[in-house]
Amino acid sequence: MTSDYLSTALMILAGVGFALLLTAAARYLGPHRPNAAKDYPYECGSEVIGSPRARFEVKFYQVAIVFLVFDIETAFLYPWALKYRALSCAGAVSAAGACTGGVSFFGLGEILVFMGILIVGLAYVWRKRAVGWE
Amino acid sequence: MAQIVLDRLAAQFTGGEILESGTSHGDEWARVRRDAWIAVATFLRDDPATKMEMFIDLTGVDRLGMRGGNPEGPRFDVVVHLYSVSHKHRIRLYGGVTEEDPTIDTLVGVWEGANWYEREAYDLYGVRFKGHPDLRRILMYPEFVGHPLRKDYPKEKRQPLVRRQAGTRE
Amino acid sequence: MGALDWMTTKLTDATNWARKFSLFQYPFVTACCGMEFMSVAAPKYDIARFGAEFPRFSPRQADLLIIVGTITERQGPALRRIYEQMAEPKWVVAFGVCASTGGFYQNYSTMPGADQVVPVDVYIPGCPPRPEQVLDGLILLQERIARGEGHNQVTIAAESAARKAAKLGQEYDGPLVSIRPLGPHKAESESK
Repeated sequence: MTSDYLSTALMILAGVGFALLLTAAARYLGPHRPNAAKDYPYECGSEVIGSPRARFEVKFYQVAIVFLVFDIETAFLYPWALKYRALSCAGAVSAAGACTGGVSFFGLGEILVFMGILIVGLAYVWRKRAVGWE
Repeated sequence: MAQIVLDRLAAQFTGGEILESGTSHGDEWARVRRDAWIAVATFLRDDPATKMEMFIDLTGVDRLGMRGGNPEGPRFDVVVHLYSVSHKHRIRLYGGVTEEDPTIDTLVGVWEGANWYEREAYDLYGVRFKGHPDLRRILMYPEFVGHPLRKDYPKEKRQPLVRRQAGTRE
Repeated sequence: MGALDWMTTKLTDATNWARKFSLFQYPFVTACCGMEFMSVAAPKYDIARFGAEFPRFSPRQADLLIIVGTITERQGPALRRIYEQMAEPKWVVAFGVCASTGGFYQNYSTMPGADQVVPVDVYIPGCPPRPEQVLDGLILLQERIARGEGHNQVTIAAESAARKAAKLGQEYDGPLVSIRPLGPHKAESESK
């Protein structure tokens, strides 16, 4: 179990370390010649027209939130699918993969309850027309 | 094929507002006196026989050195092309504008589409349109001095906005 | 001391090698030359095999400003600002005759060449230039980058040499000295 977390920790370290290495390399090895134009916002070379703080349409937020909820649900389906054999076996799963004991509907029932709750939510969002674009 | 237009113009405007008219290369044209500009345009748009709903183009001409038979004539011409979608005929109107008083009435009240064309004629020829809601340069930048399509504007003249430092690598 | 110089030179060579084969272009496309630029970027004449594939439409992410097409006087300040917003080191290529010298235009609104506002490293003539010509210009630019002769590279090198001289308390006498002495463009037969 320690080795599982060790590899994850190494991956995080490598990722963060690489980003830091590149930033440091750019900072210390690259030329540094600041000028006023580099601080100015980019608008294809012309003067800035209008403010970036315009009002946004709420449909973007809606789509993002709905997506997030159902994406997490999908993510939860993966470990359930991996453990399904063990969950639907009343006894233990033998080394060869056969089920000792009877059939259990625990796994199926569990996921149906889980998805049922979320489907009720989906139905509500559908009725309120928040899943579409307009 | 738009002779009907010239006939209607001649019938309607009997006080000498139509200085000349004719047919050239298959297109009908009429030269209009400056003070009758809006009256003629409105008539052409509204009269059922002509019905020029569509404004096609407005441009300027600098006749410096081209006044030939009439050297005292106006220096600039404002040329307007009109088209009738229902009758499918066209006409070209010429409005003479003198150099001393380069103004003419705006056609924005008759056709909205004349707006930017008149800005272009002002920008490049210096013809001012009386009553135009927003008469400013459209093609050249605001710091530009002069009217470049006039025939006495030197073609090699440059008015740079920005130049880099000569002799450096910046 | 000799060893340190050798290492620094090798490091610079390596850096320039990496830079020349990973150019991020900012195609400042204004006119008809843009069509030829697109065909150079397309699979048949493939600019990607020279490493210059990704067009970055932001000066902050680009190091090669390709000026494609006619530049008008009105566009001068915009082009200048875009050049200044690019991060160093940066190079500029004038693509087409309009960007090189103003082309066939000689009038009240066309800038006679983009080099009136930005320092250009390579000029690619043509109206528009054939894609092979563009690739030849790109190879020319890559050779200049490898030798450290780009205008911006020379400026950076001169500034760092001046800083180093000031730190050592010495007089810095050369105005703009590249890391290697500027040499003529080598012919194809003497390729590195």
